[in-house]
Order: sequence, then C-alpha cells, then structure tokens
Amino acid sequence: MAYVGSEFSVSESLSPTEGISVIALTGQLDAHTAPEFEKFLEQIVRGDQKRKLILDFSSLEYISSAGLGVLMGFIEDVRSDGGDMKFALVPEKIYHVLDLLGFPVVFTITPTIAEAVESFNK
Amino acid sequence: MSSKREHLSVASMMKQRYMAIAKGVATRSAFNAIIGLLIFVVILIIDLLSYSLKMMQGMTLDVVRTALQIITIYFWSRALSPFIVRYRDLSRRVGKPEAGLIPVRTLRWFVIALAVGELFAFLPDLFLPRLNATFEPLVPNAVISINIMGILWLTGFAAILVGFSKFLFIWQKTRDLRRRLIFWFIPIGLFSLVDYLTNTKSISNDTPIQITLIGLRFLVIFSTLFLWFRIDWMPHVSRKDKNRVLILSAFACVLSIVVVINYSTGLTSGILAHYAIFLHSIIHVSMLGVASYFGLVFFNALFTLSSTELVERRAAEVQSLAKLTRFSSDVLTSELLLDIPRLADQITALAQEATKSDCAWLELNFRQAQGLTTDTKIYRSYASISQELADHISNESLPGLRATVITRSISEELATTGKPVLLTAGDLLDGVELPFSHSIEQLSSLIAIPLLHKQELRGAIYVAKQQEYGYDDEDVTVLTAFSDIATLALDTARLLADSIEKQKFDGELRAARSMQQSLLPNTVPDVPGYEISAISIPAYEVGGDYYDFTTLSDGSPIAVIGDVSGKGISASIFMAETKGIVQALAPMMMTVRELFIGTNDALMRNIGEQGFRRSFVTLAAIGFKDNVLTYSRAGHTPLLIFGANGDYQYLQPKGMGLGFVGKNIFDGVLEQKQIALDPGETLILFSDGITEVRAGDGEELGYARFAEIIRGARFEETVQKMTDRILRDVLLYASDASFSDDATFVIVRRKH
Repeated sequence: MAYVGSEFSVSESLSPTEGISVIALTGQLDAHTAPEFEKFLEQIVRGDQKRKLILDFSSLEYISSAGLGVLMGFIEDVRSDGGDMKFALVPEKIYHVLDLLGFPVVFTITPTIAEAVESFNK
Repeated sequence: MSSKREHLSVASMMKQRYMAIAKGVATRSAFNAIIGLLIFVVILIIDLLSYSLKMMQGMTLDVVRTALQIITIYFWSRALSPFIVRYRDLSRRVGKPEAGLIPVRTLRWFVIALAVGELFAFLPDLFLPRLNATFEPLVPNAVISINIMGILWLTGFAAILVGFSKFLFIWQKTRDLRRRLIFWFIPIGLFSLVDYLTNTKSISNDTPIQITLIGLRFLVIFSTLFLWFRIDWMPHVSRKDKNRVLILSAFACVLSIVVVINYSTGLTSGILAHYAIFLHSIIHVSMLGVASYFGLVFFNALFTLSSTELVERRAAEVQSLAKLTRFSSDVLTSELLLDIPRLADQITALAQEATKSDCAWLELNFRQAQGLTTDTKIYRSYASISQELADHISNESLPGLRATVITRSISEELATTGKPVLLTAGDLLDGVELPFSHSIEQLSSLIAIPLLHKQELRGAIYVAKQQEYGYDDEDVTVLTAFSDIATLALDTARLLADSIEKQKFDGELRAARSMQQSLLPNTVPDVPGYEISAISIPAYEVGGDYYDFTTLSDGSPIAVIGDVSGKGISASIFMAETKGIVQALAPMMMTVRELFIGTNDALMRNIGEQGFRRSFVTLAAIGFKDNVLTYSRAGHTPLLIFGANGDYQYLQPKGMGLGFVGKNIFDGVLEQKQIALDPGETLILFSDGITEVRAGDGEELGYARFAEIIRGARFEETVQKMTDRILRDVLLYASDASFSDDATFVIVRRKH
C-alpha cells in the first residue's frame, strides 16, 4: 500500500519483526500532503488494526505543523491498545523541529530502526 | 376585436388585389389570344383566296403570310406567357440547393414538352407512313385543316424555342448573352433565306447551294458550341442531379435530332413546309442548334462528373470547417466551458459528424487546480461505441502494420510521436489484423488525432468507420483542424475552471487574511525602558502567526507570539480562539508560565470538545517586570538575544506545544526563565516563517544567517527602522522576495 502525493509519499515497508510495522516517509510533509498521510495512518491504525509503528524519517525533507498535528492525533489511538509509535532515523533538521515542540518527551526517538524494534521488545 | 376586423379587412384587401391581378392577367391573355385568332383568320382567308381562287401567288404572298404567322405566334405566345415559369437568375442562388435544382427541373419540363410536341407534330407520320402526297390543298376544307395544324405546330415550336432561350439565360440574363443570341440567329437567318430561295425555286438547287446549306447548318452548330461553350450553371449541379442532367440532356438532344430529321423527310415537315415555308426552315435549323446545345450539355455533364465529386468534397469540407468554426465560436462563449464533461461529449459528437464516422471517442487528461495543488482528471467520452471496445482499440498493441509500422498501441504511438494516426485496411500486413477488425461493429478504418498543448499530449480524439479505406488524408486534415479548436476550447475551459477555483480560494484567503490582520493589535504598548516593535506579514496562503500584548494580574505588560498549526481560514479561527483564551486568562495569571499552563488546559478542553484533534499552537512570551524580562517558550521557535557587543544566543527553554498533551506532561516540561537586558541589547521573538525563508537554491535562511541580519540591523536609530531593515534583508535573501509562510517578529530593545 502506498500513496503518492505531489511531493510526498508514504509506504509501509517489510516488517523486521512480526507485529511491528515500519512506515517510511519521503519528501515534504506539509499542509497539502498531511491529509494524504493522515488517510494512510487511518488505514494502518484503524483499518488494519496495527498498533506497533516505527516511522522511518530518513527520507523526510520537511515537516510542517500540519504533519506534526497528524502524528500527535494518532498517538492516543495507538497507545490505547498497548501499542506505540516510535520515530527512527530522524534527520537533524526535523529533529530540531520535533525538539522545539517537545516531541521527545512524548515519543521515543531512536537513531536506528533496530533500536526502535528493540525498544518495542522491552 | 378591432384588430381582428382590421386583420380581416387587410386579408380581404389582399385577396381583392390578387383577384384583380389575376383578372388582369386573364383578360390580357384572352385579349392576346383573340388578336392572334383574328390574324389567324386573316391568314386563313388569304390562303383560301390564294389556293382556291389563285388570286395571290409568289414571294409577296409568302412574305405577307410569314409576317402574319409571326404576328400570330407572337400574340399567342404572349397569351401563353403568364402560364410559363418566369425566368430566374440562378447566379444569385449560388450555394443554395435550387442553384443546382432549377436547371434540372427546367430541363425536365423542356424534355417533356419536346416529347409531347413531337408526338403531336409527327402523329400523321405514324398513321400515314406511305402517304407521299404533294401538298397542294385544292379544297377549302384541306386549306383550313392545314392552316389550323400549321399554326398550332408553329406555336408549339415557338414555345419550345422560348423554353430553349430560357435555358440559355438560366444563369444570368446579361446583355452579353443577348448579343450572343443574335449572333446565333445570323446563320439561322441565312440558312432559312437560302433554303427558302431553293424551295421556291428562285435559285436552282444545285451542288454549290447544297454545300452552302450544309455549311450553314454546320455554322449553326458551331455558333451554338462556340457561344455557349461554357455551361455556367453546370458546376452548381450536385452529382446526383448531374446524373439526371445527363439523361435528360441526352433525351433533349436525341428528340431535337429526330425533329431535324423529320423535318427533312417526314410528312409533317412537308405539310409545314407548305404552310409556312420560311418559318419551317427556321425551325428546322434552330432545332439543329438546340440539339447541339444539349449535346454540349450532355458531354459537359459527362466530363465534369468526376470533378463534381471533388467539388462536392470540397464543399463538404468547407461545410464541416464552417461547422467547426461555428462550434468554436459557440463553445468559447457558452456555458459549455463550465461543464467539461459535456464539452467533451460535444467535441466527440462533432468529430463523429465532421468525419461521417460510425463512432468516435475522446480521452482527455486534464490538469486542474484545486486550491494550490493541481489534480489530474481524466475525462472520457464515447459516441456510438462501448467503452470496453474503444479502450481495447486505443490500447491494444499493433503487431506491425505496413504503412505506419506501428508496433505499439495507438495511444502509445500518439504519446511518442504526437502525430495523427490513420489506419485503414491497406495498412495491414498479410495475416495481420487490426485490433478492432474482429469486433462486433467490424470497424475497419480509424483516425487518431493527438490533442496537444504546448507540445504536451493532453489526450486524443479517435474516429472509426466500418468501411475499409474509409478515410484519406483530407479527413486527417479536417480532424486535425478540428482538434486544434477542441484543444483551444478545452484549454479555455480549464483556465476558466482554474480561475473559478482560484477565486473561491482567494475569497477564503482574503477572509483569513483580514481576520488575521484584525486580530493583531493596532498599537505597541509603551513599556518604560524598552523600545518595542512588531510586525506580521501573512503569506499568500495564510498561516497562523500572531502576536499580541496584554497584561498579567499585577498589571505588568507581556508580549506574546504564537503560531497555530494549519493554514487558511481554519488556522485563523484557531488563532482567534487562542488569542481569546490568552487575553481572557492573562489578567488572572501571575506569570507567563502560568498563562501557558492555563491556556493549554483550556485548549485541551476545547480541542477535545470541538474535535480540533490535529490542531496545536506554539507560544512564546516575554513578561516585563522590574527591569527583568521573564520568558517562556511553549514549542515555539527559540528567542534570540543580541548583546551590544555583537554576541548573540538563541534561548530555548523547555516547553511543549499547546494542545498536544494534558496538564501532567505539559506542566512538568514547561520552563520559565529570566533575563535582564543591558542598554542596547535586543530580544527578538520570531516565527519559523522567517528562518525557513528559502533562497533560489532552496537553502533556508536558518538561525545563523538570521542572526547576521539582526547584527546588521541592531544599531538602527529606532526599532521601527530596525524592523524595516530586517524585513528588507530577509526578503532580499528569499528567492522570489516573498514569504511562503507567515513571517512574524517582535523586537524588544533596552533603551540607553
């Protein structure tokens, strides 16, 4: 499943461990592409009932407040059922934005996907 | 009532008028007929006298009789003329169906009249084939019979000759034509004179005279051919009518030749020669002219048959082009432009009509603005063909065709070459079939025209026929011209749709922008010891920046800067809400940190209630109290402090954005710090719209470069001037000298 927007795409890549979904974000997640991202997460979280998500930020160039809003919007749903949403491979610039907003307080942000997987298994 | 009566009276007046005219015509006809009859009686008396009593003889008698006969024919023709169809100038009806129809109709009546007249005239020949009498009527009864018959025949032939002249004048009754008619009469007159002289034995009927007569006959034929060589009306006769002209003119020619032959040998000819010796010659030789004229018409029609097809084709093309032109003018001004699916249907239908195809279909990729983004929509339209079949034909790959050597599908061919594709049965290699030749409709010919806009393929028009070899290059030309107009119409429609969308969008933007501007404070508070300046530039697509000034519970002033998530009208509404909460809570709060905590509580409650689940806001605030600045940052961009010595620092106390998390987490994270400014030192609150401005190479301004801009601007005389300079420098950096997000900053400078 993949959705291609104008400058943004999101896709679910092969899961390294059973029950964990890795979602790769590519391009610019802004006010125009955020609804597509939201639709995608809606499908994953509410449709497929997947609760353990790792967001791969490595190819994400930009994230705007709208994109951040989407991430915040799903965290409650994900956590309500013993799941979590973790961020991995976050580029410095995007980490800065997340940091400003205080995301590290709420989300687990790991340098690699393996570490994110590991943190699920704890 | 009165109007009806008036109407009635007008109608009755009209009726009276017509009656009067009809009465006049009838009276005149009757008068002419009677005059003719009287003169006829005079001829009869003269004949009776001459034959019975042998009173008058010789040339005098002939001249008198001929003159009287002509006068009789003249009057009787005039009596008949109201009943003969009037002359009509065809040249003024070019392009109308009647221009081609009238000659055919006239010719038909002429042939019928000729046939009837011939039957009537030569009836005696049929019944008395062996009668080879010398026509010397010796009894009064015979004289009277011959007179009546003779004058009737004369009148009949006069009518035929008048009909013939109608034919000559059918195109235009010009002076030139009348002159030609006179030139035609000269050899006829000469022949009649010589013939008369031989018949009356005034000159001997020897070989030179015979040769002269034959020569004069040829002269009549030649003058006919020469004078009317060009049949003016022929090009305007349609192919179907030309076939009729061929048959009718052949009849007219043959009948006229029969008349000529009969006049040389037949019984009737003998009687008429006896009765009207001079007029008989005229009729004889002018019928020769008539025969040659219709021979000419016949061959002319025959030789132009093939060109008729060409002319008709051209006419059809011109017609379809005219239709296209009309279509373009219709379509470019009508409401069709607002309804792209209907426009596509219309184009498909017209393409089918213009090429007389059995079916047509259209595919159209349409890029259309939706707000700031563009969506690609695909419109399809099918005329007289199922969608499955049309898609199959367009997209089935072709395994190598002789003429075009296409190996891909037609749609791919169009996309690759951008040129029209014409496929007919002739393009097939042996054993290869077009993808559509097996279909139910048995289509065998196809044209595909790409719809190009600035060299870019936007779609294609397809037309197809059952007929093999159903199209040629002309059809491709016509359809290409058509596709140009169609593209123009579609482009106009798209631009229109875009501008409507944009207008809607702009309307929303205007509302958002004016709302945002109205939310900003008009004045900057006067805080002792500080200079303060603030500015917020909304981007084209309004973001959610704002700044505000208010006071805490102890009356100390605070400056707040905020950035709500999202864009447009919803962001503006959310911003208004945030501003309202901050304004309402501030007078009850001791510090900016308390203010933010209270605001987060309120926002969390409101967000929960109103479903703004995805919305949040970042805030930063400075409190002015006792020469110390208290500041807090809730998720917002850091504060920049610039020392008088040129050192600077971005202050980033901890704090989450508002609207994300509940009291427990938010309160625990949020910090509040204090700083005292030395004279000349500056503290700046700003939004990320400033530091995320991009240069032409896509490089963001960033914190370091922003600090350098401040460094250059910090010694400006007033903070207003400083603000202007910062704004100028930031815009100089930006690639298109504009902000893609709202740009806001508040400057606080310690006075010296």
